[in-house]
Amino acid sequence: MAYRKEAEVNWDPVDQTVLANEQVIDGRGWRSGAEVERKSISQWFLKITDYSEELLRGLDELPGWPDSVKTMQRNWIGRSEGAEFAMKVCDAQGEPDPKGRAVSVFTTRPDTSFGMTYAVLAPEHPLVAEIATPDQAEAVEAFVKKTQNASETDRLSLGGALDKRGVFTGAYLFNVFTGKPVPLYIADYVLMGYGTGAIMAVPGQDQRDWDFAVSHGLPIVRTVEPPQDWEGEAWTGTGPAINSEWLNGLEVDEAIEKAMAFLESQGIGKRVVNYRLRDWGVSRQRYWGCPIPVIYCEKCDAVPVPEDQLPVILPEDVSFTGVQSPIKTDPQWCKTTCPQCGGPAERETDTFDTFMESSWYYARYCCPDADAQLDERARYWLPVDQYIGGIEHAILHLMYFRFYHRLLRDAGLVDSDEPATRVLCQGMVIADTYYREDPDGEIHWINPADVEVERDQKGKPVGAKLISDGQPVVIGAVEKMSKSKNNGIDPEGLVERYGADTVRLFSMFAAPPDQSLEWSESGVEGASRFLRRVWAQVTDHIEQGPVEELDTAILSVEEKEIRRLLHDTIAKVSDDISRRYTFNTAIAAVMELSNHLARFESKTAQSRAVRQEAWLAIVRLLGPITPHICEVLWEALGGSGRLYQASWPQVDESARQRTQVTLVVQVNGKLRARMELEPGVDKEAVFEQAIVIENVSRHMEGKQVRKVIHIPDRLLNIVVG
Amino acid sequence: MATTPYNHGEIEVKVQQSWEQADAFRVYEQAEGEKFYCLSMLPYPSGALHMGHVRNYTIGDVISRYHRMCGKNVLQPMGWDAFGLPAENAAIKNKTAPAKWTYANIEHMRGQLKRLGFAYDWSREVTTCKPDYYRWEQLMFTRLMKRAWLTAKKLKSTGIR
Repeated sequence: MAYRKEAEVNWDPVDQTVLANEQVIDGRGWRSGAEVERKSISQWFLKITDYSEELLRGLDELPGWPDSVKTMQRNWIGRSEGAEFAMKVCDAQGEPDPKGRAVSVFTTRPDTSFGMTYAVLAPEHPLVAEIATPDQAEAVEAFVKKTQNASETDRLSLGGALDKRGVFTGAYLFNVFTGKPVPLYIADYVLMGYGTGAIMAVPGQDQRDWDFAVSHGLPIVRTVEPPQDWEGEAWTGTGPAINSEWLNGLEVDEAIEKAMAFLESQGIGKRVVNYRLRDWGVSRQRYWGCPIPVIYCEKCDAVPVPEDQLPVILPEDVSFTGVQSPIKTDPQWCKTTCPQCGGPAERETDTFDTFMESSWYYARYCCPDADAQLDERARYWLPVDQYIGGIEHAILHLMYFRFYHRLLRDAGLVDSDEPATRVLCQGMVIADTYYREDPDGEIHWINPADVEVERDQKGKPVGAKLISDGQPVVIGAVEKMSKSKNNGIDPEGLVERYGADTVRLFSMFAAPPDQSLEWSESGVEGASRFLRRVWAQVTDHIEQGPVEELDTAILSVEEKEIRRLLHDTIAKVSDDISRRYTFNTAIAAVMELSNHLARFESKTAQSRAVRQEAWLAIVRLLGPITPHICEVLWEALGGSGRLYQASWPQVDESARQRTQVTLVVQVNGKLRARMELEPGVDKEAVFEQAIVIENVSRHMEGKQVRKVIHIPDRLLNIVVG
Repeated sequence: MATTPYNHGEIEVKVQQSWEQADAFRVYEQAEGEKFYCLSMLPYPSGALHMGHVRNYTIGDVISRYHRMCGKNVLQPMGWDAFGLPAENAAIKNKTAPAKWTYANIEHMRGQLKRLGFAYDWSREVTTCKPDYYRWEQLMFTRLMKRAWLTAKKLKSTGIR
């Protein structure tokens, strides 16, 4: 499951050190400025690919994960079914290679084989050096060298002139479908790590192959018929096979099946499943990480540090210059003895990728003091019921998290297959940007807190100036809060000014959690105003003295209406928080209810009892969002115990029955009257009452009733003519 | 109480102290009620919380407190993803050791989280750069090394899991 292999790193030839990707700036080392080289060094890998299929299938069992995350993970795993088959090396006339060599190619579309007009090897393919013909050897060698220093990202990018991205090897492969030779190229966009490191190129059905064919003057043969009106180049869709002899006329699925069967019958091909997912390289040549617990011995090679010698502790009190890791330069730290043969040995000085730590922390929380990686408590708490984090972690972290959970499962430490049942990815926090440009074109970003914005009557910003000097600044786009754009708002300052409850309320109210949250000072002011008003309303209610017990049997229509609104709100907030995650609409509903309470002026004993019930519920509904103010108001209202221990308010379904409905009466679709009715009055009764209303009967005068449309409790439309 | 005007600073600190004294959000496996584990992604101790953290952690806290009020046994922990390159960069800039910088940031940010009133069980705090955490990661790795020849499926069939 853990193994070592050579893998490329960014090498700074001046500082003689490996650089992280973030330390390579425009191809140069961040400190030395030297041009960075690609270098292969021995590194540790975890065999996540053993779990490719399970990690993919598992996504189908995760209804509580966002579709976007699951799609990204599926694409990252990149499962493809296809054929792997051998193509014999030959010369330009199709004469077989005297050494009998062959290249194995992988394709997901064996049905397009009649359209294969060339083939491509990865520059690292072991056959490249020996297969290149003498007249092409120099060009091939130069190209291989050039590719060595390119990163995988660059190689997979779509940019760059394609005539510069590959060269002819001089050799040919025999296309068993057409019985003709095709030229063999090498190109940087074919990677050794995917499939077999060799592809058949079908320019008629693949746009990159098309572009490459055009720039290298190679023939193009369509083998899937594009639609009649198709004016583009490569056609990647479905359609009947053409120019394909015995496949002609078959649809893509059938043609794939028949081509596959042909390869199998010839004994040169087999069905294979390929994954884009690579094994996880966990070695980092950095200091500040967890030491990889391995000892190297000349005789015994790589030996795991024995369990009774763990942990391998990273020294913390070091002088750190940034060029070399302090443990790499400390011979005393490195020196040890081989646990197997007792001979002199050295410690591994690389550290783990920090994604290792974040892959299992959730399990350690269950038993942080366990004298093992995990204990029984992890079985009790896991899986996580709700995980919340940023969408930027959709691929790497959440994939390693799912992988490591399976490692823990297969080590017998947890029972579940997946680490988390539900995942919520919150949106970004965005804010206005402001800047000034100095005479030599350099941009200076200015923090929104230091800017005063002038607005027109509609509130639209018309200009902005720096508070400290009163001079104008340019208003930029609304962007994700970041250091580079200096548009971050410091939450600590906000908490000091407005309080934690206001900051929490604002961040939950301003947007649904998966959408972008736009920072606005006025939004924070609004949140603060609402809390002050709630405080004042509750205070006012309490100051009127003790409240008598609620008796729902003797309530007025208005009191019943307040109770109906209250219990509708409890139902809505419960659903919004637990199922829909729309905390913003939950808060809006509570705000609306508090507005109704503000307008509800009756001071009778039962009115005050209704108000008491409402406030005791509201402070609990708001409790999770603004816990401090609610804790204090709960106590002041005489709620029992502490708010954080209180029970969530229960919906009284009987209170939700409407006592009165407003029914609209139309004549020929035009509004003529409104009626206040008890709910559930039937069509005939509504009609009888409606036609005696003066404004209704007047519009019906002298006409015949043609039709009566009734939507219970809502509308009655009388059609006359 | 409520005759006084709304003074958030005073109220919030007082309420937070009362939670702390009562060990209000500490949870045990033996407690009554269905378990509910609500987890927010742990922060990198960069120095200070930003609004993205506040948003993330408020969502988690609202969900946790809601389920607690519904009678569940709610675990809501917090910790620090403490290894990583930024500490090396900061160490160079500030001429200090990455560890010292990291631990100071954790102290500061823990205070910020407490001031926001999140209902964490702080007794379960995990700091990933401490040996009592990463030693288990090392142990797991050495076991994975020894079983390099076993695929997951074989592991299951041999009963090692």
